[in-house]
Amino acid sequence: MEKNNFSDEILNRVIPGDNPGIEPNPSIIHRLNYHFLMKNSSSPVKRNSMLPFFGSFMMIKSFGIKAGLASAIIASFLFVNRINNHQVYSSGMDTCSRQSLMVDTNYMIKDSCK
Amino acid sequence: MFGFRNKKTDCSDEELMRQITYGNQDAFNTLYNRYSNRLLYYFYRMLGSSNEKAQDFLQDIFIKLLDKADTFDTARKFSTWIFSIAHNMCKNEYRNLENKKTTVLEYIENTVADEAYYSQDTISDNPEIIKSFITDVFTELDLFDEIHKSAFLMRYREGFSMKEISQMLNISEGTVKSRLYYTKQKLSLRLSKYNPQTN
Repeated sequence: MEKNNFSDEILNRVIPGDNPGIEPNPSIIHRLNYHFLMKNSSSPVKRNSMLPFFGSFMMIKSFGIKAGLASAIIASFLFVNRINNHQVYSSGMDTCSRQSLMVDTNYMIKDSCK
Repeated sequence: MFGFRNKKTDCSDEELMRQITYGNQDAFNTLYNRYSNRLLYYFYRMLGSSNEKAQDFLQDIFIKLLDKADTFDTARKFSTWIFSIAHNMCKNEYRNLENKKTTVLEYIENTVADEAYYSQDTISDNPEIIKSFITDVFTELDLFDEIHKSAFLMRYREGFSMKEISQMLNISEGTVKSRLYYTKQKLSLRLSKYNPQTN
């Protein structure tokens, strides 16, 4: 019976050559890309991307290293703040002290004239 | 110029799928460009040569791909995975339409073509006859059920092996062979004008 059927050779040559003249609608890829973006923006992995970091940071494991790292960060913040604060106050105090000295001097001069 | 190559186009389908799960949109577009025409053709021929339906199914299958991307096993071949999804979509559509396959197969059994004969050499040479042959093949294929049609397209259009087809259709290799044999036999009988050996 096999010899009476269309041979594989003919079908393998003719069927791949079939071109019904259809193309994917260009709007499909736009809609799919929009779906892709929507899906990724609502992905729980993206939304909570910092959660695993904080979770691992708060664990007991390697606590010494984490505590040291945290204290180094805090110390560096304090040090920077201290430098900045010192500069601000020093300029303010200079002005204040000059004004008070002037007033004091004037009073003393007036008193001495009387 | 500097020997750089376009990495996306060189990537395997499975690697592109892995990148899609990480949110790589370029990988998705590359995969779409590789498969959209093949899948569109498959849907077109499976769904009675309806361009509208084929376009809808094409969009649906890529939405499914995005939604199920993280369930894809990268050790598996992507092409067989996507075509098995495509086949299942068509199967559901056939179920919804309540296809009249039994009456159609009876009709095929009882009908004999009585038109002029063409030799097989003529089929391969004459473009007009090839076109007419293809049209007749798919007109006849529309009368078969989705498994016969799917196996035929996967084998002769997509060039999948028997083993791959059996995985995609979820049937044994022996069943795939018998389905293909049956399809070819019925086509040869129905389209005997292109195949003088049947008489």
